[in-house]
Amino acid sequence: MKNPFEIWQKNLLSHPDQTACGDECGVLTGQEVLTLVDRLCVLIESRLQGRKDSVGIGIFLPRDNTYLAAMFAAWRMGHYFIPLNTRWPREHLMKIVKKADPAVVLTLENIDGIPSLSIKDLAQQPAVSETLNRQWAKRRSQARLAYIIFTSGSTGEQKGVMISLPAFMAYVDWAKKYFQAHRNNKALLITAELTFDITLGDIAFALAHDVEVHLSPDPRNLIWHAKLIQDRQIDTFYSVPSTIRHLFSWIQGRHDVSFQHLKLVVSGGDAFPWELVDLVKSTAPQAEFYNVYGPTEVTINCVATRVDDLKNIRQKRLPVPIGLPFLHLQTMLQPEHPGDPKTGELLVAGLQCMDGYVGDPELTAKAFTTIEGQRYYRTGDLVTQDEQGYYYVQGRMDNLVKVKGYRINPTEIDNALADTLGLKEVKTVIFREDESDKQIVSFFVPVVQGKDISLELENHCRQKLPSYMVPQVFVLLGSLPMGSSGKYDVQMLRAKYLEMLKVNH
Amino acid sequence: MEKQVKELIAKVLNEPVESLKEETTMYDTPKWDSLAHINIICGIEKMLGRPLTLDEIISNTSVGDWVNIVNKKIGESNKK
Repeated sequence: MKNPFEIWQKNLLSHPDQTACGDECGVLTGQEVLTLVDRLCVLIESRLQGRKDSVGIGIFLPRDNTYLAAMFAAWRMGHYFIPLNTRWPREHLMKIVKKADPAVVLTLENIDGIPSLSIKDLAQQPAVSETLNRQWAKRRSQARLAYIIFTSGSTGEQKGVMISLPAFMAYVDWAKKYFQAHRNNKALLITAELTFDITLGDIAFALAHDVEVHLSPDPRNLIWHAKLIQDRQIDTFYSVPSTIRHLFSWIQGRHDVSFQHLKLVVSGGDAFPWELVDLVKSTAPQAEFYNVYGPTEVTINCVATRVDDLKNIRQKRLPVPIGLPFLHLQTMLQPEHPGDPKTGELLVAGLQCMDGYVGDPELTAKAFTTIEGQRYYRTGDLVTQDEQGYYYVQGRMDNLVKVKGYRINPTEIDNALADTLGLKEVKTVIFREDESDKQIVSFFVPVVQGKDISLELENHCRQKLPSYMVPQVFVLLGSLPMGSSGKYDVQMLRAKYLEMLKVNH
Repeated sequence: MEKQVKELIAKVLNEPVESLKEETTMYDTPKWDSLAHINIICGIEKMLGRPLTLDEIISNTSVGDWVNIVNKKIGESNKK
């Protein structure tokens, strides 16, 4: 089996003088970035001398070309990497480093309390010797892990998801086949945090289709995304729906920015309404639009669809599906109730499933279930499946709340409200601070700023949902707060509402 | 203009004006997310009565940056 570094090296050496990657400061050619990888490897080796096994390399560097090179340096040496973020508070960093236990953490400056290795002398590193080359090739052939990514669980505790090289390479193979129509694409832009697996999705696409990888300097600074999409002629863009929505809406009002080069837009990580498809199509008419879905534990994604193919689903006024399962994976739906076999938890089995949570065999065991001899990862997502096989996410299993004896799923309410005229965004939250008096509250943003469409929303809900699911309160907001992952920040919505209640009392 | 710029940013972020300093940036303010950033840009452009170019906007990530660009632009139009 090939290692991601070997594929990248082969790609870059076929056009060594062309741009391979870029950040806000500039671009590097294939030869330049491979030299950077060489130097990083030699530097890491100087610290790990004599160590034979595959170990974790923490990357605690600014978001630039060197960060990207460090990922490939770890792979080149037959190690795995743990992406870290220089904007994390120290306490959070220490917690992650303690759990992941990297042998070395690449940093700008030495940091007390972690096995840091400063890259400030990178330029002085000698060339790679043949002996080292052989040692690394041998370790690559035996290495198991590709990376460990940390994600917060429902308890708020960070879990280190261990993804193997075979799992990652299975995803690369999928990206190669699935996006075959985009094999001639030239450049993609990473906009997600480097600690999120959307970034690994971008890297997998780059490996599969030999495209340039450009890094936008900050996930929240959409202006940089726009500038780089235009200046670097980006044709491949994968992001969360909120980023796509805000970026493309903003672009529509400007005459000095054009997304004419975009050929592929991929949305993942959250649900979105059909209006987002219209927005993308009107801003970048030549771009194909895909929706992808997958928990970090199943290596980036496991279900996908080309949204342009879904006209009949849209005509039926169904929500946007997450898609069809990857052909090399097995998925099934474990019904919640025997009377409703079409709704249940999505289970996934196959090569892309994680090796486990680092240092937590108990939690790993709980994450899987065995059915008829097959080991499935339990996604925790409540889904339905239509007769064509398309999956639709209905929300999280742990979000189901019993109100007046009925199990209510807030996402189902959002889905029902999604096509209300004049509605831009909505997020429903069930307040259960007081068990005897639970309240369903829908926070909404209208298309026309400040226009209160509560009555329309309520009427729309009454037409589509049973009365026990109709929200008691609709709250008009200027915008919905977003968390760092680009998903709605439910905690902040809760705090906002409780603050409003206090004021009103 | 410093007062108006700070009031605009405070309104977008739903924070008291007094909590904003020149050096407050989008990187250390959780409420200053991608949408807030765009709303600040739109508000500043409205204040100036004309759009800014991408290059004029791109490096403005703090309260001080926005105050400076607004002062600069107003200075330029006064000269004209």
